[in-house]
Amino acid sequence: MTFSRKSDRWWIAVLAGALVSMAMAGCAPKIVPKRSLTPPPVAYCHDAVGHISGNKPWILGGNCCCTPTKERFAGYQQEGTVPGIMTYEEFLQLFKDKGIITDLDIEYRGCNCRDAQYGPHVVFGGHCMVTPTPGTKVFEDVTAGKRIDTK
Amino acid sequence: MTVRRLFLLVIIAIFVSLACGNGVTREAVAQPPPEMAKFFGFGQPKVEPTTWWEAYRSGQAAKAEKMILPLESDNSNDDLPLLLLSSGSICLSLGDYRETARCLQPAVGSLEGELGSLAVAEQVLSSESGRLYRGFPHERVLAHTYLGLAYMQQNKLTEARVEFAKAAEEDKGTKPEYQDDFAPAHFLDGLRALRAKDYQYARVSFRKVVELQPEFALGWYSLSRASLLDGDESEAEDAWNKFESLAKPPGLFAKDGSTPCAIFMVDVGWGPERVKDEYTEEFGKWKEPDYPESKVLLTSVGGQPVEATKMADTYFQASTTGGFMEDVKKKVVSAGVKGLISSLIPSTKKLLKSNVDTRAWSIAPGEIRFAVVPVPAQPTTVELKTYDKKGKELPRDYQMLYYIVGRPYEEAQLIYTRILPDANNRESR
Repeated sequence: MTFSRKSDRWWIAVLAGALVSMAMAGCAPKIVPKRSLTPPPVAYCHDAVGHISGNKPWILGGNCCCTPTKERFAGYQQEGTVPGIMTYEEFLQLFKDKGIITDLDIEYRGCNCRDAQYGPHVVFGGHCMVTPTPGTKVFEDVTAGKRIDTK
Repeated sequence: MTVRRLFLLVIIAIFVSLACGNGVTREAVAQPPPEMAKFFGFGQPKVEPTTWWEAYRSGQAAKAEKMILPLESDNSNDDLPLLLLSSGSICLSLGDYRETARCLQPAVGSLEGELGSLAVAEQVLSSESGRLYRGFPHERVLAHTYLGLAYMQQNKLTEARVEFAKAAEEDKGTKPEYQDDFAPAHFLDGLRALRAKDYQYARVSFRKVVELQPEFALGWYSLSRASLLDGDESEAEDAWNKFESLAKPPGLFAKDGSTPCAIFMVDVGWGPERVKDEYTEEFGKWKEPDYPESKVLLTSVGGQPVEATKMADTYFQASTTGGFMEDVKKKVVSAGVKGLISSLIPSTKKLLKSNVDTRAWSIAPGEIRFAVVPVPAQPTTVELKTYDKKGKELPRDYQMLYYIVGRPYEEAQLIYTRILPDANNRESR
């Protein structure tokens, strides 16, 4: 088979170009958009992002997942986000009654709520209120209060 | 031009635009499809990993953890200490400091524990690759350092101090200048001391850091802060001036330490591999790892990029602690005993093999880098980018870290991050 006619060679060139373009379309690097530099707003405060003034403790139905230290409890009292008559011991008992672990439970610190028994984080229905590890997906999801798309 | 040609040109134009367009935005990051990755010479083809090692090396840390866990239950496995070290690496990159400590604690126990006489005999007589894994000196140093880091992040500061001290103790170099030269252990110990408000101890640690790494700007900044907090304005001033002369870029931090910031510890690349020497094939030697990352930049939104400077190189550590001569000594003892036994009992000759031990903690990082990044005192996004030797960005390593909060240096969060492929896919981590 020869392609002596100019129009035949033109057809071959066009067809080859079309095939290469199709191949490139199938094999071209897929461009994946970065996620936004602006994350969702902070939905739950905790030790790693700092307490948001006025946030009620999670154990009382609020959005504050800070470690329930004495200092934090005093802060809640000042902000009026815990009942005035409640003592610190009674406040801690609420966590024990619900089986919630926090950074006060030394042996669970740093677990990033991956412990099989207590995880996931209370924000996602688990029993772990340990401070999540900054720089991890768990940390971002807990802070946002929802699973953030990573792609 | 005929209608037919015009029609064909339109078809070609559509295909070309499909190839190049694909909804590109200016902020888009390219990811190569698996089948063309090798052809274009970038990225890694995505093959489903069949081992924990493959899973971790491809960036699937959570998968690697699931695959390695069942292997740890076999206490008779001679590789158990190595599996625990590797598990520690995996848990560290998942931000699980509790599990990291759970893995590394027994690992260092196995690497350093005294062997009973029966175990010693077994070590001498068995094939090298079939012996209980006892690790290499640099691996013990690394293990103690990471265990110290895990304790520190759990706010177990006393335990952390012990581990950093053990790391220094284990760092026995082949020459005097290589002894106790692992700067990250001292730097982390200094940060620990700052948190514990033991400013005098912090100064000692940071002085050691700047002695080992005089060009490391962060070492001088740390010494300046610790000295000021300890009331020594003279040393603080000297260290501050040295920091300003080395900082890239300069002028990001206030001398009084009021600039809120976050400290990043970035593990890059892969640890050295153990291979047979090419001449005799009787001894092991370290092979320098190959990875593309050459530069790491961290940028807080609205801020200037800060480079994470290399503080340690594990190939260098491996080559300058123990190494070849240790190998020769062990080999001579082992070969001598085996030779004697096989001459007395010829039938044992085949059993007393001497395969070179090429096991190593190769998923440990190749480099340990640190950076202090100015970050506002409210939740901020920090971008991490890596570049190769030619200055080209490596999109596969890109990370976007949300909600990072800056604090004064002595209270700053220490954020550990492991550079792994396919970093965009955070689910796998």
